[in-house]
Amino acid sequence: MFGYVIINQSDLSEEDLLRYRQCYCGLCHSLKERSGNMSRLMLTFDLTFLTLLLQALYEKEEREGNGPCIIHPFKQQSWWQSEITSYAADMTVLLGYQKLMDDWNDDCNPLKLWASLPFKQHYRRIMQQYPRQSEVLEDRMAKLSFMEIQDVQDPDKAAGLFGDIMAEIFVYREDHWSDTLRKMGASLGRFIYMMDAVVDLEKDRKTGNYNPLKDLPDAKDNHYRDFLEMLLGETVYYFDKLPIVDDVQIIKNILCSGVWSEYMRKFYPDSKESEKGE
Amino acid sequence: MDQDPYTILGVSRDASDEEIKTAYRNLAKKYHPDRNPDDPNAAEKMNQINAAYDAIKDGTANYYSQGSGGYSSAGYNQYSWSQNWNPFGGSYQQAYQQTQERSEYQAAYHFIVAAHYQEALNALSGVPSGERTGRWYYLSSVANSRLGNRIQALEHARIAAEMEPNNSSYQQLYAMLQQNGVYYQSYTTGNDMSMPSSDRLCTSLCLASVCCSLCGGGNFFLCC
Repeated sequence: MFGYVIINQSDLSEEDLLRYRQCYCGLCHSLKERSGNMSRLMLTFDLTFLTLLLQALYEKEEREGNGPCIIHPFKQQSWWQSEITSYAADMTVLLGYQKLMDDWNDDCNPLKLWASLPFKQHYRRIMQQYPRQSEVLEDRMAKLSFMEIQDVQDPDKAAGLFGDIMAEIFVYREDHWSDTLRKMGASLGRFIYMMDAVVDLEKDRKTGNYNPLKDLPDAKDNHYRDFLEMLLGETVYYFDKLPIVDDVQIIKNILCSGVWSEYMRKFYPDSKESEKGE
Repeated sequence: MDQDPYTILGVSRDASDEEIKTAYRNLAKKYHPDRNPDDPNAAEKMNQINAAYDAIKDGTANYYSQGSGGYSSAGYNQYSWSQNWNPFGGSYQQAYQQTQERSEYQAAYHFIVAAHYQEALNALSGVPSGERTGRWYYLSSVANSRLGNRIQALEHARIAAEMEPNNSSYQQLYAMLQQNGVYYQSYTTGNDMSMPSSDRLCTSLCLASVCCSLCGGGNFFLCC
């Protein structure tokens, strides 16, 4: 489900690429500090995006650091962190733990249950600290599971449920911006869900896995693009309402270009940096 | 708000979006209650600044100009059209109503006019899928869009427009529902963004991709 909200590396300046990388590394370190080493495996680009967005909006004090990377043990990586990074780290574990429990409930795969054990205490802490986000997450995941079991073919409802989850995670705190953040999160959440459905449709048709697009008559690539662009249109509309001036190029790179990476790989595998066109 | 929003933010009427946002940020740094805990007026001042910013972004700020016609700047409101637009207002539609049409379509039409959109969809569900005409998809699209089911609404509007290319109401509905997509395209073009190439990206930020390669289809850990 996650992994679509990424940068288009080739379109970013060196400075912006470094800034983004430092955000990602900062989030990784924050995960380790707050929820243990293993929680770093839950790290996603999507929550990196959220860190960047909320930091640009709230401009919390940043602290910088250097350190070896779990993947690059011989190289010093620089990073930055703020209060926002800590929030994103907690949201990462909230989502990650919930996903493991969801998989355990769906497939009864004991590996998933075993994998979730180290995080239980952190999940409990985060649930207590963020009841609003936790309640919506648990409720909507349960409803999504139900839809999957019943094979309810309703893309709006399914995407809307996931959108609700992202909407609450986007809201760092209730203030003047929470309504706009909620709507931006909801739109992006719907986009993520539908992009995942589009990318997996062919595979799901073969395996019989749940996909809310299965009943759409003869939908082709350009039909998917219609509603995917519609959902992104809502996302950028709400983004534009926020008084953000920092890191705008990175955010726009992600929302206008990077989000299409997997889609382009799937439907236009031979394209090279082309404008999206027929 | 008594004062002109542009005056409150200290920007000219033709200020760029970036200038407006920067002005807001500078004022927020100065007047935010968190930074002025001893000032009893800080919250009120901050509310004024927030309201001024919102008015400019929403396009209602131009109503404050003296003696102008109140022409609003391009305050794109994605669903405002759907509140004001009457899908049954055209003469074609009125003529259509005269002809004998399926009871399900008549029921759906009346439900929509009465703003009972879920009931309209329930009525339409009585038509077997093999018998659904452009009219079915049009009515379904209208009801779905009113319910916020934007994906179904767009899909069904597209199918209605394809089934009856000469029906201007169907084309109009489809065009309207595509507005968000058109907005996105112009936003992307305006920001000089191109489609990413199909090459594998971000492999240097490899924690997530290591994770993805670990789980692939096996789902060992939770992954993407």
